[in-house]
Amino acid sequence: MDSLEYIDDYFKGLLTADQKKEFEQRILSDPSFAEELAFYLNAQAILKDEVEEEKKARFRELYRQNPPVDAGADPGADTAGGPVVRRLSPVRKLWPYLAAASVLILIVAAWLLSGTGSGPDRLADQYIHGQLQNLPVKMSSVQDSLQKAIALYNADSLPEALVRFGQLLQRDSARAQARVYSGIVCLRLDKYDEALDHFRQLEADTTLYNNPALFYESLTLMKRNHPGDSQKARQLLQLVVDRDLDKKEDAQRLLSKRW
Amino acid sequence: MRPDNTITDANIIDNLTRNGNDRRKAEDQLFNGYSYFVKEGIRKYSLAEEDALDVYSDTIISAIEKITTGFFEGRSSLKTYLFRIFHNKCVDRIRQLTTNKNRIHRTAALADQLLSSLSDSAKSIVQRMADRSDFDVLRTRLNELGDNCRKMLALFADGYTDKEIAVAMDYKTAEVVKTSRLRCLERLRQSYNVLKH
Repeated sequence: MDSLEYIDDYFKGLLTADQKKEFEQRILSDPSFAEELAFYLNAQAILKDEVEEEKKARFRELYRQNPPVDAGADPGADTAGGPVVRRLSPVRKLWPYLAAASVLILIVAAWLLSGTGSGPDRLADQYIHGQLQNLPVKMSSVQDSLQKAIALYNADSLPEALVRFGQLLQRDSARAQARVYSGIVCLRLDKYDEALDHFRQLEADTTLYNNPALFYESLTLMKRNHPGDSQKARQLLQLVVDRDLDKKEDAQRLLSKRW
Repeated sequence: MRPDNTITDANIIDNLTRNGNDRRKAEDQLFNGYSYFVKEGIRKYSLAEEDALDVYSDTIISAIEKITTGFFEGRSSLKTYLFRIFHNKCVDRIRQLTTNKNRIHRTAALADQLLSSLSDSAKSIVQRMADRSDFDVLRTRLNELGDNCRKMLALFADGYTDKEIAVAMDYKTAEVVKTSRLRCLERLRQSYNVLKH
């Protein structure tokens, strides 16, 4: 009993530095104590296993009761401070319809303009006007800094939005969502080099599961349309398709045009 | 009515660190919130649904442990953090499936974690002894302990303090819990040693 209490106190961090040294010495010099310690660890391990099995059974039941709807979400995207994405969210329920409506608008617009022989910059313009006029807003009682910046963007206050996104990046340069949006604002403000800089930094972030950097980089090159940009943009779009990256479908649509 | 929209990462983290009913609820919320990862496991990593669900459950259990022990620092969102764990576990699972490698026994991992401040020689003595133990016998003996004992030991293994166990199991004080818990452990040790020798 004494040994078990001693071991228990050790793991609870209740021993002083000297007592910890004695504890180690006792392991080295007293095999029966070392054996008790091994027993304690094994018992903990088995109990932990059982607790985990119990939790897994509970989770399996939860999963069976509420099978997940394919969220089509971006699991790697940063949503610090925002609400946890919920299947039951009314906004999420609307997403498939909004996405379908957006795609339909894009297709109709593309069909109307297909005969005009668009250059890459015009095609990029069409995409920007169709897809990047508004950024997605999260419904939450808490409006964090990112949401405030998005609200400015959606109100067409682009320079102010850029400042806000920049402040977010200064606080946390790894904040991917702020990086994407900063690039998009720069693109819309015709600050192509800055936009490219943001997207290239984003591209280097290997921690992201879904990374739209290459797609936006090619869109920026299409819009800038300097000599060589068009060819480079096509190569990048092809990479997006070949590697099955984020925005693959949009890349396929752009590649299917003549420009 | 907005049933779950007002639940933030902060709410979940806060409730996870309060052991008791709030924690169990928060565990379920965390699991439900990102269960669509299972589909990602099937689609991106070509896992069978059962494997993807198992990996996702492991992800949630691991995240709960990190959060309750203060290892989650909040430098990324919960979603990003979870997905990183999920990704790594998917890769491990694929490796495990392709190499048919058994998972490292939990005691080795637990010993590494718990005995991290000890010297290598002390650690290896304990590890050798732990490896020689008969887990099946120990598990059998554990199952023969009374319900109260098992519940108390399980809660402790799940990270509850004696004070929190006292609240959850209606004991008067943390000291009573500690004494009872160590008595249960001693009973387990004795019955294990009898059967083993």
